[in-house]
Amino acid sequence: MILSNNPQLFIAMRHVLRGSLFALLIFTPLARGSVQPWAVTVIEMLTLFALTLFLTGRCLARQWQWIKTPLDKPIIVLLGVTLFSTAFSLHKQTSIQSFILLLNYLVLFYLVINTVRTRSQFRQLIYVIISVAVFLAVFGLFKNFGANPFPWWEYAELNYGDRLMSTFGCPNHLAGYMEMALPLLLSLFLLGFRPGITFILGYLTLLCAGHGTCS
Amino acid sequence: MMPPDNPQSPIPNPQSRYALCALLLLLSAFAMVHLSLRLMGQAHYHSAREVLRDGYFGLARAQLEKAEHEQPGDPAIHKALGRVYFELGALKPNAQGASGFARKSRESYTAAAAINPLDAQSAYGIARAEVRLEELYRYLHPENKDTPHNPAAHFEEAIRLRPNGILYRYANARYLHRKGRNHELLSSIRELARIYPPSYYYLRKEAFWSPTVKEACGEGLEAAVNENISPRSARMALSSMAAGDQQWPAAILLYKEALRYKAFDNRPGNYIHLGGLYLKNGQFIDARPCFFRALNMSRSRDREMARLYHLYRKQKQSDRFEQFYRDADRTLILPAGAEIILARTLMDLKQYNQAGRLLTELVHKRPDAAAYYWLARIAQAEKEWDAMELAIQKATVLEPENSRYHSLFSWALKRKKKFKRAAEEAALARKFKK
Repeated sequence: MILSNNPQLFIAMRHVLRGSLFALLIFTPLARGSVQPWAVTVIEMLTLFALTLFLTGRCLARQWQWIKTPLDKPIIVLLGVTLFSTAFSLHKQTSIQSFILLLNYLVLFYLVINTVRTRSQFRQLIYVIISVAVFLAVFGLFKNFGANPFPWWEYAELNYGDRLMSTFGCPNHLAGYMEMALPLLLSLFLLGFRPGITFILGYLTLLCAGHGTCS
Repeated sequence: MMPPDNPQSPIPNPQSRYALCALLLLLSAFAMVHLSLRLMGQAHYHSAREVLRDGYFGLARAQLEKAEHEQPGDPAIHKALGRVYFELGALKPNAQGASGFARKSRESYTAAAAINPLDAQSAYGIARAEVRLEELYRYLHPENKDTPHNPAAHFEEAIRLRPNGILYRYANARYLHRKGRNHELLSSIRELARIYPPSYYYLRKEAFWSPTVKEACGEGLEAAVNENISPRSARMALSSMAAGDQQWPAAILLYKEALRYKAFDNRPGNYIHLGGLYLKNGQFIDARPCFFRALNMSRSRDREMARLYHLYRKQKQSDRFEQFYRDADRTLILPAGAEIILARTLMDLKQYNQAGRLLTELVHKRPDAAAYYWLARIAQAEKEWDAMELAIQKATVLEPENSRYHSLFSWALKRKKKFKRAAEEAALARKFKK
């Protein structure tokens, strides 16, 4: 009774939940694009933590409303097909791991749908993605000029010539991230014209676009 | 704000809700413990890979054994451990120790194959370990003719799992050659050349390359052409083979056909190669359009011009190159350094005065170490030792870290009996020699 009637607890839970989603958004590009097995496990742990928090909160608040999205039906079909192919896979262990990873992504999708609801929360999410993109762009420049202060982001075994990689292990992955971040950055121009802000946004857009091109 | 009470809630009873929460937390904690253990194993595996890259096999082994303990069901860890044991075995000075590590390597790869029987890498790892065990067995038990090891079966398994795995096919071909199984070797070569025509360039460097292997390779390449597998590479390889047999018309025809496939991939080097084939066949007029096309496409015309110079020189056609150069100079913009190539051609034609004049004009426009070097070589040919010393000295001043210039300077000084300076220059030549 104490738990379910405590509004402070729910607010704190929502903050922690959003915080863990933002942590994931920051962690994934920084951990070499999260292509290595240990990074995938960290993603799964963070997702599990966020999911537990979400379900516990829903359970205590007695709120089980499902927010419908246009992607629900395609996702159900995709899950059905994947489950079918996993069941008849030649090597079940690999298929199950991939199925779990797909589930992980879907859980993240629905967690974002259910936890980022207001305009200001959306803006926070966009700011996080843009901040990471700007960090990647600035750090990428430092790294390319041979001034990388972080040895863990130095990949001596990889050789992509002059292509920018930043924290990623492959320039194409960095380009993909920039392609995702650029539209969000451009959308900020629509918020209104203020010379100083517009100049900064324009500068950041060029920086990210330049990185996307050079990677 | 307290969340609104939802009358539609499927779990209205508070006790049931708490019980459900507890169950959720319990399940989550259980999954979290499992993930934490996995993360620890992966962290060990990750650090093992880092040290493995630097060749610290002992450290990698310690990390991988911990990782294996945390995650016995991960085939990647078993494979990495198999590789580490294999490398450690190679470092052992005695056959017994090497054999022990090879056995461990085979066990690790076998464990990986048991978890994922579809993984060709594991089968290949077992095959490599078996090859080593077989060799060591023969060394340790020379009295036994038969060995209990059978790498061939594992090579076949690796190839079955990844039929287009070039690495496995190369290794298998080498093994078959060592075993003297020629029929199987030829069949393997035929298949290798068919599925991957560029393999011809690697195969011809192998110890087993022989007329029969070459014939099998040619058959494989022809099969690739007929089946339209990498048609460009297959025709280029066949052209190279024909050129090796000095069958120039066939080589030209095949190379021209090859250039028609993926024409967007054609580079200046391709046209120079085709022109070179024409030169070797004595078709000097046909070679020129190819060379012009290469120069037109090229971003570094001086480099391409140098290649052409060597091609013509090799065919003892320096006079034709001189004509080609002058025609190219009229129609294309050639970089300043290209004049040195013309000067070298004139030197080959023994027209030292003309070459000297050209180089002198060049150094008057812009002092250039290479131009001074060739001026020194002209002086050397004409036995003008003072002029030679002066020119090569200027070259060494302009490019002080060029070993060749110091070497020639040393020669010129020695010729003039300035032995002390000659020794100093020779020391510099040695110092800057790569």
